Amino acid sequence: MAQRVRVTQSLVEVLQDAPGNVRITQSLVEVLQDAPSISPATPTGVGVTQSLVEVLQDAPGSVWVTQCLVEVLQDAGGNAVVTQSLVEVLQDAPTISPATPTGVGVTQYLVEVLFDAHEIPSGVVESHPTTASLVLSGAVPSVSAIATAHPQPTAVSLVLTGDVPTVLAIGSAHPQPNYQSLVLTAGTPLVAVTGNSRPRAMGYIIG
Amino acid sequence: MGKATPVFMDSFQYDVADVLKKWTAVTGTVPSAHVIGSAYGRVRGERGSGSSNATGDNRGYYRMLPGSYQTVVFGGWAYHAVVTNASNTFLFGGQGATVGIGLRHDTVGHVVAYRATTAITSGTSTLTVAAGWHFYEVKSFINGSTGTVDVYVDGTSYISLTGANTGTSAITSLGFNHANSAASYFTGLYICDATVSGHQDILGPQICFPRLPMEAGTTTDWTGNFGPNFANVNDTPPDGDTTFNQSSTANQIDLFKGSDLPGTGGISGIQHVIWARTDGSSHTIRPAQRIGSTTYHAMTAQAVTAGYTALLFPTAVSPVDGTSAFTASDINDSENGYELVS
Repeated sequence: MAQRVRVTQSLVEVLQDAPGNVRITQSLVEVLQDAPSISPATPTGVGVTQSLVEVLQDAPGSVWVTQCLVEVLQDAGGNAVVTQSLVEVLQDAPTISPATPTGVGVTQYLVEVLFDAHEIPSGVVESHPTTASLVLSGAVPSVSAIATAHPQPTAVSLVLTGDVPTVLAIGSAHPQPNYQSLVLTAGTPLVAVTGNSRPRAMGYIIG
Repeated sequence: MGKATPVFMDSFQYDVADVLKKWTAVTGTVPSAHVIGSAYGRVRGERGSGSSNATGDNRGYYRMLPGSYQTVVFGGWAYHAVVTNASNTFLFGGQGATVGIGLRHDTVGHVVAYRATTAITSGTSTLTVAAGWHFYEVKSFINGSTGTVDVYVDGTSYISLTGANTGTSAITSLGFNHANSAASYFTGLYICDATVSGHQDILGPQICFPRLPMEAGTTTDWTGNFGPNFANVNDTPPDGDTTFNQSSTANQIDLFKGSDLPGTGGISGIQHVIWARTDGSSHTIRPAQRIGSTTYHAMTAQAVTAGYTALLFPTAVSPVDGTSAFTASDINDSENGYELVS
C-alpha cells in the first residue's frame, strides 16, 4: 500500500512594493509522513525533516539568498538516501532598470593611491587562484574553513566523501562569486551551510 | 627636490583576463613604437587580484601616456619564480618613438638595463637578485650621448650610469612583458614625469592601493539602475551595463566614502579611475573630491566615449592648495567621485 503524505504546513509570504516588484520574505514547506503510514519509525539512509529557503528581494527586485539551511538525518548504518539537493539562485535581471544608461553611465569608480611602502603589498603573493576547492575522503573530524589567498575568489567548492560530524561553512568575500558549491557524498549527521549574500549561483549536493 | 609626478599608475584591481582594461596588448608583429626594451610580447593576462601574471604566450602590454617625457621615473613590484634561467627575461620600461629603456634579468640573476635590444652593461651591478618579489625603479634621462640610467632594487641603488646612449626620443608609453615559462607577476606599476625642476626624485618603494566606494558620501545626484549608487560602481571587475549610475544633467555629482589606506606612508600621487560610457551623445566628466567641508572639482574634464573606457585622472597634489602632497588622513577622510561637466 502506498504511503500517504501529509503536508503540515506550506507557507509563502509575499510582499509587493510600489513599483510592483515581488518580495518573497519567506518560503517554507514542511512535509511529514502521515503518521499511520510511517514506516519505518526511523529513516533508512537519510531523512529530511525540514527544507527551508528564505529569500529576500530588495526594492528594485534583485534576489539573493540570505540563508540556505539543510538538515540531514543519518540512520544507524550511515546509508545515504537523499541523492541531490540543489539550489541555484540568480540575480533577477529583468528588474534592473534601465538596462542601458541615458546620458553618461558610470559602471565603476575608484581612486588608486600611490604611497610609500617598503614591504610587499599585503596579499600579493605568487599565486592568487580565483577558485578554491577541497576534496576530502574518509573520516573527516572537522573542516572549519576553505579559502584561497585571493581576496575575492569567484568560485568555491568543497567535496566530502567521508563522515563529517561538524558544521561547515563556505563562502567568498567576492560580492557576487560566480559559483560556490558543497558536495557531501557520505553520512553527514548535521550540516549547516552559509554562503555569500549574493552569489550568482550556488549548489549544495547531498548524496 | 621633490618626488617626480606620476602620470599613470595601475593597481591591477580588476579580474582575470581583464589585464587589458588599461593596457593594449601586442601580439605577433609589435609596432616599433611600442617595443619595450629588448624582447617584446610573451605576457599572459592570468593573474591574481592586485597583480599581473606575466608568463607566456607571445603577448606584451603597453600603455600610452598623456604626454612625452625626456626624463622619467618608473617602477613597480615584480615577482619572478626563476631569475637565473636563460630564457627568463622580464621587462618593463618606458618607450619612445623608436627606443625604450627597460630592465631584464640575465642568466645569473643580475638586473641589466636595456636600450631596446642592447644591454647597457656599463655600471651594472654584479649583485644577484633572488627569486620572489622585488621593487624595481628606474630613473632615466633620454639622450643619445649624455643619457643617464639609475636603477634601484628594493630602494637600494643598483645601477648608476651617466654619459650613456639612452635613445633620442622622449618616453611616450609604459609597458611590461615577460618571456619566461616560469611564473611572473607585476603589480603597482607607475611612471612619472621627472622633467619639472623640483619634482625629479625617485619615489622609492610604493604600494598602489585601490580605494573603492564603500558607502554614500554627502552628494548623490546620479540615478542608479540597481542598488545604492556606491554599490553600482564598486564591482571588480566593472560589470558594464549590469549596474551603473547615469546622468544627463550637468553639474550632478556623486561622492563616496572608501576604506582607509593600509599604511600611513607619504602619498606620491593618486589617480581617479572612472569607467564610463555615453548613450552616443556628447558629454564630459571629471573627478570630484571632498576634503573637509569643501568639494573640489576643478580637474580638466575628459570626453566620455560610447563604449566603456577607463578615464584616468592622475594628480600628485591636493586640491586644497594645489601645491601640497596629499596626506594619508586627506585620503582616509575624503569623499571621492565624479561630476558630469557637460
